[in-house]
Amino acid sequence: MRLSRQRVIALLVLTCILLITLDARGSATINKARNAFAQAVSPLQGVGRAVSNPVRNIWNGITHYSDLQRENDRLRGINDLLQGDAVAAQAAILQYQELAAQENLESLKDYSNVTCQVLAYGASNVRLTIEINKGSSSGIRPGMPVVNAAGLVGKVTQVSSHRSIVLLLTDTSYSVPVTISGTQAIPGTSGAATTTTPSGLDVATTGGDTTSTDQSGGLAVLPGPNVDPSISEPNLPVDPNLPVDPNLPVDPNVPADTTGDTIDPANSSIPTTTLVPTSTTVLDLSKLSQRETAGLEGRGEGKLPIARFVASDRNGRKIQVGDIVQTNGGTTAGLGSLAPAGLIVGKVSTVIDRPGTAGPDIEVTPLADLDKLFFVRVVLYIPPTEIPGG
Amino acid sequence: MWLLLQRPGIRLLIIGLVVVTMQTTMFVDLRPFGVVVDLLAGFSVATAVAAGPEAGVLAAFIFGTMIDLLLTTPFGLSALCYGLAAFLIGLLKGSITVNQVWWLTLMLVFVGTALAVGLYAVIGTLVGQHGWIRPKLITEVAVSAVVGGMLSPVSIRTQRWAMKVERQQ
Repeated sequence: MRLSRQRVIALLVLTCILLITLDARGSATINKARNAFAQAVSPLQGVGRAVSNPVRNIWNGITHYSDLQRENDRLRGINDLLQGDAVAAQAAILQYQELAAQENLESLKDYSNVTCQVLAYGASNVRLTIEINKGSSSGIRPGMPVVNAAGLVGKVTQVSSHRSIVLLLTDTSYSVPVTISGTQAIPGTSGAATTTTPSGLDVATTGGDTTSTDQSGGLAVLPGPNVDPSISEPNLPVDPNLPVDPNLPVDPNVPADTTGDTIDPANSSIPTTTLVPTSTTVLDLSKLSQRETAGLEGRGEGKLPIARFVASDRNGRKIQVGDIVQTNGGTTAGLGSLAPAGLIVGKVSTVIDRPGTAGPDIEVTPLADLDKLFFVRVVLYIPPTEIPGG
Repeated sequence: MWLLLQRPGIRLLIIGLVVVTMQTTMFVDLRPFGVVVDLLAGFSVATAVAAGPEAGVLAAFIFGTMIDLLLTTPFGLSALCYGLAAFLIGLLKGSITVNQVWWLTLMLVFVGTALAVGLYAVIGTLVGQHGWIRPKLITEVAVSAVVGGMLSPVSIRTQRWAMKVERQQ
């Protein structure tokens, strides 16, 4: 049987429209076919990568050599800055963990994670994805957030037994509820004298080994190292590779501790850390401002993600360039979140004021370098709404 | 086995697997001007140039389905765009009565590849994908078309072999 040309093209169009429709409706058959084909092609792709490695290296050597030199110099400078940042951040993380533990709050350390190697970037110019080398056999499920040491990378969208596809947060189909938090002082509050670390994390230091509370609001504080010299080394209670906001050690919705209670390290199961052996670190409450919530959407390659529908701030604080953006968890701005609260996304780079009550549009620079991902971590987080009976 | 290899469908499958592997490994890393070259579009159009619009549509459907199975974009979209481009270029090639010269073949593959990549963004937008039509699309179309055209001597010979087409003297 020989089909006429008109019939050939009509058959093609109708078949493809049928397939597109089935896929849009989430056909399980198509998903199974995708998984099966990905597994079947996987050995070929392995061979392809091995064969193309020399070609790729030559190409990269030709096209990126000067870039690499520049980047190397830049990274050396950043590395020096980060040495100081890391210590301050560890202290903040610890304080956050203590408070979260005291208030029985959900914490990032509650979630295990899987380290994965990035096999390749997606072979599409319009859908920004990466392929990682772990899948459902490692407990990965669609929707789980993916991070690297710097911050949020994206979310898992497709899973086979030993491979997963991760949608990058810059893709146009990516969205996640976020919280924007600043370090700008809230009008009408006063705080202790502070010192500023290279990261911009403001900490106040007081001499001696006593614990204290900030009079402006009363924050829990870290125990001094003199109580127990054996715990003077920085000792992170959480996976240090999981990004946690160093500027926001506490959730402002958590009732502040105004009792001035002290933490006894001898009786506490929580590991502690210090910045300087002879001082106590106190976070300056005046620098912990209110948070705004918004929906973050990717805008495609070469464009920064944008946070829209920013909820108005109770204290009239203006969102500023440099404010920290982190996942909000829960449901905000009509976006159901598949990510737990507290994953760092990036920093505010531009605030675009809009007339009316819609709130500003906020461009966010992701902290993770999405163009150079080699290893990532999948946070094995399942939202409570997705847990059967949860 | 040898008999199986004589079938155009099987040959297309083999070529498709090789090209899809190249596209998802080597060309993902090379990215001239930051663009992932759409090799399969070029090979689909090359089939139409080598063996006519019907063969082009068949190859386009096979190649398009293969790449759609590996991407998270709407399934069937690549097959549709490659198929439409291959069909149109096949018809155009059939209507040209002058002697075939190498640069004409190259131009046909160039135009067909550009058409396929452009259609992909347009039809993708029509089926609800956001942000696919953007300034960079021009670069993507140009780079894919140029590479497709440059590879046309290889792709057309390969597709002639696949579709068992004798070269016209």
